[in-house]
Amino acid sequence: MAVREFEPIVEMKNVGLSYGDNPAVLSNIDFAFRRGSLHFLTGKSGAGKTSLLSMLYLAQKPTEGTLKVFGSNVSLTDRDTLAFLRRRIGVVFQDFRLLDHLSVFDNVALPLRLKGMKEKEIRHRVIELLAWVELKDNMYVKSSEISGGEKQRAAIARAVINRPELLLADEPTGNVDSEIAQKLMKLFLELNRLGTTVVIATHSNELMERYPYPRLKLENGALTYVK
Amino acid sequence: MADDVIEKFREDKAATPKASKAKLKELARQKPPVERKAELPLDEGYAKTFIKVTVAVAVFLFAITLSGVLGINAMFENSKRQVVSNFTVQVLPKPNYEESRQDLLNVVGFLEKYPDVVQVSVLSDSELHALLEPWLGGNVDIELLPIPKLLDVKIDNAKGFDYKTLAARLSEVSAEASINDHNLWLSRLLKFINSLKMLAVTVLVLVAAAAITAIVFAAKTGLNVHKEIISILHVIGATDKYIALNYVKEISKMSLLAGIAGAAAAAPAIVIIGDMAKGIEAGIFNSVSFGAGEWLYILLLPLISTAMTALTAYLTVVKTLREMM
Repeated sequence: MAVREFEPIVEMKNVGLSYGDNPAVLSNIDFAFRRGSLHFLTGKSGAGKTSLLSMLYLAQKPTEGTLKVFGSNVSLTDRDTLAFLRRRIGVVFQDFRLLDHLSVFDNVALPLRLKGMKEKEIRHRVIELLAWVELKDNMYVKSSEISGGEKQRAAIARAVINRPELLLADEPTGNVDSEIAQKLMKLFLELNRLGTTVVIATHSNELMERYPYPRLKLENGALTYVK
Repeated sequence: MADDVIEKFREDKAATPKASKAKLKELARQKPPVERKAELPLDEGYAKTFIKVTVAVAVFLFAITLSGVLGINAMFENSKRQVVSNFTVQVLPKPNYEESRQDLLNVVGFLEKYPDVVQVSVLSDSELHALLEPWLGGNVDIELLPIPKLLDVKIDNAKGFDYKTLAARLSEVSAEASINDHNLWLSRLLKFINSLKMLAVTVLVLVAAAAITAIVFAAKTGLNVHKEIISILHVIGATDKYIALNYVKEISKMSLLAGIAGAAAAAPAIVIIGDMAKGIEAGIFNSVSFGAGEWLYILLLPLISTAMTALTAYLTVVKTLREMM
């Protein structure tokens, strides 16, 4: 279904999440992300940021309420359609989650290969982006053999190579120096300017003060909006 | 402040020198120095070895069993072709020699004129003697024994030949003549061969079942080992079909090589067994033949086993992925 301009890109109504019979990790979350918005998601460790993000990148379905992504009710969507929806989302994980047996190039190329893009076009796009994140010289090195900062950049490159409509980043600047952090934020802001909805989960007050975008605070499984 | 940052980003991009852009284009045109690896690798450990050995052994057993079935089939067809194109007529002796002789001439005369009969030969005393020697010894005077005369009759149209009508008309010519058309012997041989075939099919089914079980086990183990990779592929947007085909591509390459190894190991064994069968020199075994058609079946086995492996792995992976996420 085509997402109309006025429709929120993500919409949560009374969303709750619990694992098995354990108490709910998230409860009664009501929120909507407008297309082209940028939000910080903050909260203490264990507040449920990662769980909330995992629902947003469609790895988990809510156990309560309704979650709509790109207008599709996630709970009622079949597996293949969910896979196609995921291709419109870029995710930067805190622990990078690169495929260690593949080269940096192949990791970054993966979303384009899933789309069935021609290899020639993939090479142009990936090399350009890797040059920009300063990984061009290491592009054929296995991702398990590069440093933490380089992994972070490779993970970000993989998340944005596809020009996602929704970009979710979990502590994207946590493992890089301030110069690279600035550069990555520039990339997120540029993507946001081009229409990508961005959600950045972070602990960094410095980052949130430097870039005064709306914040969502998770506390005891509940979400509050901080302007 | 954020707007300033964006402005700086644009400046950075715009400031990229032309020479540098050309260098990137040139780099993109170059062939990558490393081979692209499968996104979902096969487990390097025992599961991979297990599949290789299982497929190679399965193809070896398949090839041996199939060659046995094909060889027996060829032997039966050859024997049938030889046997059904002739039959034997037995004429019992009469108390009087002259009557016996006249009776024999009547039967030969009748048979020679009978439709589709191309040749009638009476077995000579020396031939009869040679046939009876194993039972009676070499010192017996065959003239003193009431031995029936045997006639070897060759026919042209074996398929439509009506033995019942011939027997009825022959009894009118001579009450002492009877036909042995080998049908009883052939039907017993056919029964025996069918039993062997059933046994072979059972062996093939069991070998296939064992191979399929091994592939299912190995695929499930491999997927469990690579749960993290699968989860990442899913998050990036891979469908179950994409992941399954990725895995199937890898397992099929390995299965084809293992199948070729199994068939290659079976080939000399088939040749040796065939030669041994011919070496028995026991009539029926001499007709064991293994031609190009039969070898083609054996050569197709690695491809068939690869197709079977691919299908089994695909269905297993798709089912397991649905259970996993």
